[in-house]
Amino acid sequence: MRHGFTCVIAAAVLVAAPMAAAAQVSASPRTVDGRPNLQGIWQVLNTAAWDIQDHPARLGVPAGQGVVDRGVRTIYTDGTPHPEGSINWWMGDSRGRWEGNTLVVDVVHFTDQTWFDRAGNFHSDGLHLVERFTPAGPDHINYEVTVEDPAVFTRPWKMSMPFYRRKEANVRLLEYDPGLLLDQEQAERERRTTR
Amino acid sequence: MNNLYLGLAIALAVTASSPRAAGQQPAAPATVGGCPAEPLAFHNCALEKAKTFQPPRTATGKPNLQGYYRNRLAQAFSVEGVSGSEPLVNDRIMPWTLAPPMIVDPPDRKIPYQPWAAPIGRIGENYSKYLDPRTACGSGGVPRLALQDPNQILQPSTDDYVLWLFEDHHVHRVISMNGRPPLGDAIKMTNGDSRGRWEGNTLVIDVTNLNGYTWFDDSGNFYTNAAHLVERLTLIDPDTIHYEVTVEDRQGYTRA
Repeated sequence: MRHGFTCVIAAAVLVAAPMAAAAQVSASPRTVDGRPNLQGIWQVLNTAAWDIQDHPARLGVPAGQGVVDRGVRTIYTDGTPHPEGSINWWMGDSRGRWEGNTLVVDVVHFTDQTWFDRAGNFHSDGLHLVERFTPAGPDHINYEVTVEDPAVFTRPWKMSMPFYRRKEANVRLLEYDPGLLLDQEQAERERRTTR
Repeated sequence: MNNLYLGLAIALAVTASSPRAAGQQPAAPATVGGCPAEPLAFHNCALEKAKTFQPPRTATGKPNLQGYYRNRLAQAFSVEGVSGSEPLVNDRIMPWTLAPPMIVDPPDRKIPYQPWAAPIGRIGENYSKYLDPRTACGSGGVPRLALQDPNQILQPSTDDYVLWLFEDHHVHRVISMNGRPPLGDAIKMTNGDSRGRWEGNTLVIDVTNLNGYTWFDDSGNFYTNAAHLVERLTLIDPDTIHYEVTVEDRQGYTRA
C-alpha cells in the first residue's frame, strides 16, 4: 500500500509541474497601468563586452560565441517623436512604445565615438537602433537589437541575448565614480613612486 | 545628543521655460513660491505653507513631485554665505557674489565644525590646496547636486523607487522607497545610499554610506564619511519644492 501511495504523489507532481511553469510566464509582474514591469537589476551572461562576434580565448578574454543574429538612459514613452537633428549624443535619443508586451525603443542621434565592445566594432553618427525588450517570465527578458548604419554596414543586422534578473537578496547597483577613482589611483601611484 | 546638525534650506523651483542665454544664471528673485527669497525667511514661510498646501497626486495617491527643477535660492560659492569682507568678492577673474547664508540652523548660520575641521572647510585648506572634486568629473554629491544642478524628479508608478536625475555627467540617484535593508558600513559612495519614505506630503530621504570626498560648495565646506543626511522635499505650491537637509556628522561637527 505504501508503494501505491507514493505513486499517486509522484503523478500529481508530474501533472502540476507544467502548469506551474505556464503560470509563471503569465504571472510576469505588471505596473499599475498594466504594462509589463521590467524594473529590476538585470545582467547578461555572455562575453559580448569583449567582442560581439565569435572569438577564441585570448589572455584575459574568455572565448565566446557572438551575439550577432548597455550610464543612464532616459527612454521617453509618452509618444513624443525624436527631436530634429543633427544632434550628437553619447547615449542617443530614445523613444519607446509598447507592442503588446514588448517595449520597442527607437534610438537615433548618436556620436561616432562609441564602440559596441572592447574589440573595437564601431558605427557612424548615422547609427539607428531598434531595441526590443520582451518579458519571458518573471526573471528573464529577451533583448534584441537591430543595428542599421548604411555608412558602415552593408545591411541591417541583429544581436539577441537574454537578460537575467539578479536574484541575490538586497541586490543593488552600486556606484562607479571615475573622477574619484582616478584621483585615488593617482594618489596611490605617487605613494609608490620613490623620488 | 552631542553631535551637531546643520540645516540647509533652499527652494527647488520648476525650471521656467522663458528663453535665457545658455549657462546664464537666473537673476536672484525677490520671492520664490510666494515666500521671501532670503533662505531663513523662506524656510520659515515654507514650513507654514506646507501645512495647508495640497499637492497634486500621482495615480497611486502619492504627492507628485515629478518635473524639471533648479534651485532658485542658493549660490554656488558658500553655504555660509558671502559677505562684503570676503576678499574673493573682489576677485578679478571670477568675483564671488554677495549672498546670505543658506544655513538655517544653528542660529549663527555657520557650519559647527570641530576645531580640526574649520581651517580645512571654511575657505581653508580645501579651497587653497586642493582641486574642487567636481573639476575631475566627480559627482557633486549630496546635497551639492540639488544646490547647483538642473535636475529632474521621476516617480515610477510602482512606487518602489524615486529617481532623481541631474544634468551633470549622467549623475543620478536611485532612492529606494521599499524599505530595503541598509548597506554594510564598509561600502562608501560619493552619493551614498538613499532610502526614502513619505511623511505626510513630504518625501524624506535618509542618506548613509557617504565617502566624505564631496563638498557643499565651491569654497570647500565639507562633511566626513561619518555623516548621515536627512533630506526633506515638500511642495509648497504647484511649482516649488521646499528642500531641507539636516547633516549629522559626529566626526566633523560638534554641538557648540
